[in-house]
Amino acid sequence: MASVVLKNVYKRYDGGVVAVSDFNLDIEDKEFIILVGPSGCGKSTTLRMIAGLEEITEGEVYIGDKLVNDVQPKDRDIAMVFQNYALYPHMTVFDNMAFGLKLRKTPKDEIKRRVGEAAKILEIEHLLDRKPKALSGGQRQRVALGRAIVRNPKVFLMDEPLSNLDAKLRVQMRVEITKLHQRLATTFIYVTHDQTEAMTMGSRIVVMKDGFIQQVDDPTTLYMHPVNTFVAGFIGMPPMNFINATLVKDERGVGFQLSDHVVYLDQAKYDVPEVQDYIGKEVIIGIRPEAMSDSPEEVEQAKLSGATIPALVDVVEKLGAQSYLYCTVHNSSVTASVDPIESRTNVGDEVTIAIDNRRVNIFDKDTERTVIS
Amino acid sequence: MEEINKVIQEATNILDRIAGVTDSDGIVIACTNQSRVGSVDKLASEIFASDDVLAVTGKTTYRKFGTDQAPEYVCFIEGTDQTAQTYLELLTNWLVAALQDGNQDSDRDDLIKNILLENELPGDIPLKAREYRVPYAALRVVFLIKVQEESSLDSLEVLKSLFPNRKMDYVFAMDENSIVLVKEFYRDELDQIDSMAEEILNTLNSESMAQTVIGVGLPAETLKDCAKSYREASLAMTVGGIFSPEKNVIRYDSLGLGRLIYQLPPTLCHMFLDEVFPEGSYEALDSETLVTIDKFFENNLNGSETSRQLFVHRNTLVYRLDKVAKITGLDLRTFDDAVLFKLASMVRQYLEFLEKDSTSSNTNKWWRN
Repeated sequence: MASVVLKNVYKRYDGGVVAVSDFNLDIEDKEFIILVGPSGCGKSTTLRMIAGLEEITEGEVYIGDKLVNDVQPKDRDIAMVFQNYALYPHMTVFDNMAFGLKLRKTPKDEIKRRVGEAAKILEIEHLLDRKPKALSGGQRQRVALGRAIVRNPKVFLMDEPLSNLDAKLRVQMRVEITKLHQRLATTFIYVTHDQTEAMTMGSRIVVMKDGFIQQVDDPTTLYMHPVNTFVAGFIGMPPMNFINATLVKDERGVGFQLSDHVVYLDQAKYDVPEVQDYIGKEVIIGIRPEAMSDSPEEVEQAKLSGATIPALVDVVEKLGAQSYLYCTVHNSSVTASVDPIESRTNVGDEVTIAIDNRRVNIFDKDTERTVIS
Repeated sequence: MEEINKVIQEATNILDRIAGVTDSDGIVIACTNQSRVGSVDKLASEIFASDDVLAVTGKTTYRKFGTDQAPEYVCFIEGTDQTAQTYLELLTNWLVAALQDGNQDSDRDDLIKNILLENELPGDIPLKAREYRVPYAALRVVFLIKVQEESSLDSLEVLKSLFPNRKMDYVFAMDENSIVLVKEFYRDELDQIDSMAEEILNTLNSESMAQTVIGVGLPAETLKDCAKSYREASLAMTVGGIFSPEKNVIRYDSLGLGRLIYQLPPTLCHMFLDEVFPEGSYEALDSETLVTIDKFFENNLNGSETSRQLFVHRNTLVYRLDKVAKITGLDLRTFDDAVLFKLASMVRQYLEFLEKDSTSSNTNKWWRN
């Protein structure tokens, strides 16, 4: 068990490509931290630098209290689990899990004990005599995890370990890995491009883009208070709706204007200097799909505070637990997540959508940074 | 040695008594009781020197064995009864078979290695292939795997275990940090080359914790063509190292422009560079500007997207691009100038590589020869 600290870490390749820029992060002992971002954002490179599989161009990496910049990967006391993994086809599950320990000349009794313990944790004791081809996808993934667990590392590094699994199995393994973290009480650093995985598994999430950290926060803060449009759009499914509008002020309050229609904000939202500075300027309005409703009751309520918006429904997607309305609002496409039981909306309907005006985000149009969330 | 260890390890689970193997000096090289490995059994060395093949002394039975006529090792087993002798005979037969099998594998590996290094006459290859029972016409791809020297033994072991079919796949060390995998594919499996290379990379990364780079050649139709696939894998690694240093798996068939530039003679490159970048003009660009240019190219010369991704105002981007135009005379917003800049910067990268290569002690790429 160990903390991991990255100080001003850069990764530059010959030829000028910068994969990671000024990366600063303190990962606490036993923490489950997620690095998330789109493909090419530098998350895997960061993980590989922690592992020592990639040279650090600049900066410092500490595991525990030890500076590990010049420490060989095998001496860093870490274990890695990857998306594409291969099991040794002619070996049993036991031997697959024991292989790494045998390479390290670990005594036989110790190997037996560690593999037994790992198998128990992963609930694969009954599979120890099987060969890989007799295993299901989930079982194979557990064996891959087992190979990492038997090393008894201070830090687990996982690079999209669930990406190859089908959707159902992925959900199941997500829970398994979260439980595993609780059982092992070890530091986990987990890389994914899937925001759902990030939100459901991590105690803290690092959102990355183009080699830079965008925001580090717990899942709820990231969702409720994103620092810019990238984080706001990346976290949450369906993603946040963005509408270009002008911030206006009249006797009724402050609102955002879409051609001749004004949606008024909750007073608590605009009664702050940050928002006042933007009155009369173009901004980006961010609204989460679940902050929009077509329920008649809520629409009536919203009309009183001037927080409604006219919309043309293009597509209705019924998912059971909720329905998504894909609408056009003043030339912008927006998605509303509505109650499937209450909603009577059909494709082609011109509806009035209620907006929870306490949950409207405002972003600077030029910098795309959050003005208020 | 490896074969002897394997047999003795497997025998541990079968035998109800201690057994092992010593070398000609009586040093125990493998034993079902691990603690005895490395110790000296004087009786074994005496028996090795004697004319007897089988000897029973004290509480142990000994038997000499080897793959040729002359014995090379002594196998011993606890006990002096008839069962001990039977076990010992079975064990030595097993050991001899394993050693012979190992020798054949090693002979096959040597043949493939010689073919890759073009040490075999093309006319001899089909004959030798028949002799060593290696199918001549089969679709094979050569993977050249560079690992750090200190991890190479572990990595070789990992790869041999990943590809245990010694009749179809050949894994051997080429030098202290290069391992070659010659993998047989069925024609409809060729789309798995990428995922296989990725699996190899990840497995080496996680099992032997080794920094790894993999070069992949084109599929070879016959054994003779494997030499070409090996050259391609090797070239992929070199060219990829210059133009795509961020990649760990480099395929020969996806080298792109880099392949063309790599073929150019340095004098021509210098001439081209002098033409595009008047003296000192490229050097005058700071790292921030270079990152901006890189991003601008990445976004297909789209200014809005580039400024958004760089978190700078569009005017800042325009200012930076104007600065580039002033210094180099190239307006990157126009397609022709952008192409010229891109090509010239790649040529420059290549010349930098050549310069570093000529003073190889300066290079920090552990896998580059």
